[in-house]
Amino acid sequence: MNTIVLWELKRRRTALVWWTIGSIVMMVTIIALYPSIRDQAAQMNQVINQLPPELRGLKTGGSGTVDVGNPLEFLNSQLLYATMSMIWVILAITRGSNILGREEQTRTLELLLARPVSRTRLLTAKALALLLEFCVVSGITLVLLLCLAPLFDLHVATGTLALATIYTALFSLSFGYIAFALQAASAMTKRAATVAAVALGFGGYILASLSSLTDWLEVPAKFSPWHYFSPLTVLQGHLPHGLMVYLILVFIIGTLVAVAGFRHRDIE
Amino acid sequence: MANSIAIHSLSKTYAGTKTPALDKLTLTVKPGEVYGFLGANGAGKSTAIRLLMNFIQPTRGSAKIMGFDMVQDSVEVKKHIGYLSGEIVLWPKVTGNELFTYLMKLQSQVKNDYLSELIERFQAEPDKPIDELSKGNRQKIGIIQALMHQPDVLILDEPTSGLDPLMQEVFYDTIREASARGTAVFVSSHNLAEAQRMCDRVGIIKHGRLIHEQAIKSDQSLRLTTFRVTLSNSQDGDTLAKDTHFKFISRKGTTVVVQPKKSLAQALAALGTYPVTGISTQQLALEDEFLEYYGDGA
Repeated sequence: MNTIVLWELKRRRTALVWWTIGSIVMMVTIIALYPSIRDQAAQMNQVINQLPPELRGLKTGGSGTVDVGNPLEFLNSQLLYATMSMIWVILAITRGSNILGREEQTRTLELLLARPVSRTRLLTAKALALLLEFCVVSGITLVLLLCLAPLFDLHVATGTLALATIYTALFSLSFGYIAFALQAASAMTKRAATVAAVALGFGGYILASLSSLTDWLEVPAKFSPWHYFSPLTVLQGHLPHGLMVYLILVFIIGTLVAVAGFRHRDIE
Repeated sequence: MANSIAIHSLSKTYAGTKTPALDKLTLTVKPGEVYGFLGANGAGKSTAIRLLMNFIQPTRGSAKIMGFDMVQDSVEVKKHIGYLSGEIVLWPKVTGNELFTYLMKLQSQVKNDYLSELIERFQAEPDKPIDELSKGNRQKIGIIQALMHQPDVLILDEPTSGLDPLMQEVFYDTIREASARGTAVFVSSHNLAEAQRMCDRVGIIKHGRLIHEQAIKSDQSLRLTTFRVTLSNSQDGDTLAKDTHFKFISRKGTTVVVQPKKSLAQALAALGTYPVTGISTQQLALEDEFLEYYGDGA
């Protein structure tokens, strides 16, 4: 299994470097703005809180007022909720769709299946490679965030900030894992995998953000994982149980569906 | 001797279709035998190969390779197989050497000396990334990865596609050596001359059904020689067509094409009893056999 995982990482090394650089640049750009934003927090808050709730929701996930001078609220609204999660969702869905699906499409998957490698072992190695690729990008970003945050006066307990960032990363990865599991499960779900993951990842984000706008969006928004996603709750020292349940379900059910389907399905 | 490949009533009907792509295929391949699997596009060759490789699941029937069931014991089966797909696709940025190392690790049967020998023999360019190689050179990499661990069974789909005539010769020699070592070779091909040259036995598949099997090398000179005989009258043509010394092939007017069933001397002696006005011999190529089964355009 290690052979396949290392092969995947080696082949993806250039792309991984660029994704990591992109993720770090975005993170540094945002946290570097904090000192100047904090100094003008009153004016900034006035501007932000005068925005329509739906626009405010796109940044925070809720329609409540925002205090960007507060490090926790700044990290939630400016960094974790929309920016980093979005970058990581794009990475996760792209890789989740491609790590198996593209190999099947280009038929290089047959080269692997022609060797004495069980389908379960192959699938596990691919899932592990997806996880490791994601860990490299988000992990390096996290380490730098923990190192740089105090330099920009973002004084948040290291453990709390780490937990909130890991929570954001896992949430983002869940969409990639959904794409991956659907690719693996059957020929029919394979075709819908990317669309379903994008609909959940981006459609769900817009739905949850706009749910405070009209009453009729409130019920469908509850089916979006974004509805339960709240880095601010973690930064404030609590674990959002709803999302934890969602994450556990995605990774367990996704694995079961992927393994059960992929073991017996036709390779196209 | 146990068969290296034993296929029994293997069938595949794809989802959403009613007609089977492969219908009750039954055949065997012995150790050291080279079996050619011939058929037109869409006849079911690739479906059969993909079933043997367990890339797709059979609707009915079974296949055993080296005694292991292709579905239940797929991992064990793959330890014994070397596989080359019809249109070889490799990772474009990877070099041949990187690919060989990777696949060797997965195969867990390292035979570096033989790999080096194959690279030299096929004049492959293993240091270049795949996307910098010509189609023929990519095919060489594909052939080498199939052969490098000296498997007990080779499953090859259009193996010489893109190879120049010189490399085709090298390939035939390599297959002959593998066959001499006891490797069973199951090869699908469009190239009938190649099949005639390389195979011990061929099977012709049409509309998913195996419609004909024929040995190639044994008694080849006798089996494949035909006489085009022109007689002085059509009545004698009728008699010759039914003569037990010959296999009747075709007839046009007073010209009859027949194939000797026994020895050439006996056939010539029998022909001496007919009022022959013209005679010519020809080799009945596999192509003629193939066209005989495909010639109706159905």
